[in-house]
Amino acid sequence: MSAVSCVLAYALLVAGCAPRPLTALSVAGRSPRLTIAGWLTAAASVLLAVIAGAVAVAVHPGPVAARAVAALIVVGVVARLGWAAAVTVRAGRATRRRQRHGLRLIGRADAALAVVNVECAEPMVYCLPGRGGLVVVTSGARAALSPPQLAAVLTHERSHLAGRHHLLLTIGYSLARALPIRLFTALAAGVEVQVELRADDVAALRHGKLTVASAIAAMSRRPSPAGALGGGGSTAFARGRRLCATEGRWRTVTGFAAAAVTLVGLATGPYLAVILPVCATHL
Amino acid sequence: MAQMWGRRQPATVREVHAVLAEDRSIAYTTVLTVLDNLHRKGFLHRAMSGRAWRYEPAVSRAQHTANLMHEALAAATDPTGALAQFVDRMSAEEAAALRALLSEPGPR
Repeated sequence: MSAVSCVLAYALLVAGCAPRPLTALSVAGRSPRLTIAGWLTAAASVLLAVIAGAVAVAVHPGPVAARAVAALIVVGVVARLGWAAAVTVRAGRATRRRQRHGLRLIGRADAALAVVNVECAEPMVYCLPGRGGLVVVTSGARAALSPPQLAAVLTHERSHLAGRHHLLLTIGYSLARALPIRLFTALAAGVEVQVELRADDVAALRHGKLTVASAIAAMSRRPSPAGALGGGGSTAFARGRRLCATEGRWRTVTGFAAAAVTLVGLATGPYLAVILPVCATHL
Repeated sequence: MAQMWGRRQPATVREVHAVLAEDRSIAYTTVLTVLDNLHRKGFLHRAMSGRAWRYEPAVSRAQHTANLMHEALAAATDPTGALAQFVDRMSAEEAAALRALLSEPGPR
């Protein structure tokens, strides 16, 4: 049973300790894709460890009570995850369907660009992911943005569609809904931000970092009513500042290396947690 | 819907079809079905007038647009990942700070 205890201890360790360095990586904003992979690997690592450990106890001959509890845990976790995913996906689809139907009545579609233009003074640009992805642009946004800025914003939104970021967000929200432990709630918030950073990076590669940053500034022209949001500053400002910053190559490399090491560690963790005690008993 | 919003008074299927048929060949039954669907979805009200239904928009175009954009704004912060908005709000201080950063000359 000691291998199982190791695996479960590993799960607790990661669930408890992983959020902090992952959040630090998220805030640094260096490699959004690696950071997202880090978050997802940590979550998968924990879930795999718990389920594998419980399955091992349930299957292995031993005290019936322990096996029954383990089996219940497996069924419970899987059912809870399934339910949370179903609820999240259904709600998301319902909202998108309402939006699509509503937009069909008032929007003027530009079929070649998959853009829907809407008469509305409020500057807004958003994308509707899913089958037949759309980008919605209001007349207010067209008025607020210069042509290069608008192009950058469209590239940003299209990268959300092409990268299927809504799937990543759905995974994050489902996990947080299923089991609101720190790891999963931090993951949901972290993935939300990283996905925006990734889209910013894609737009910046094509249109230049300052164009994207100035587009962010132009779209946020109307300030929030009560000063800084949530005390920690808005995501928009953090994104703009990140794009304006120039960082040395060394810092980029170390950031990348840190993220990569974290990722590898989390991916191999459950296996090491099983193998090490087995090796120890054989030595 | 553009047709319906452009009218000042409720219209029957026949009246709507007459206008649409000027631009393209469209069957009366098609117009009937579409108006009925829009009614079922809540975009049109209807009242019996003589032997025919008279349809009119349930909300004005402006109100409908406002409702839709409002829903999009709300959806950007709710936990379903339904859509992704380009940018959220920032405070006046942050906006000023970002503009200052953007106007600084420096290497890209």
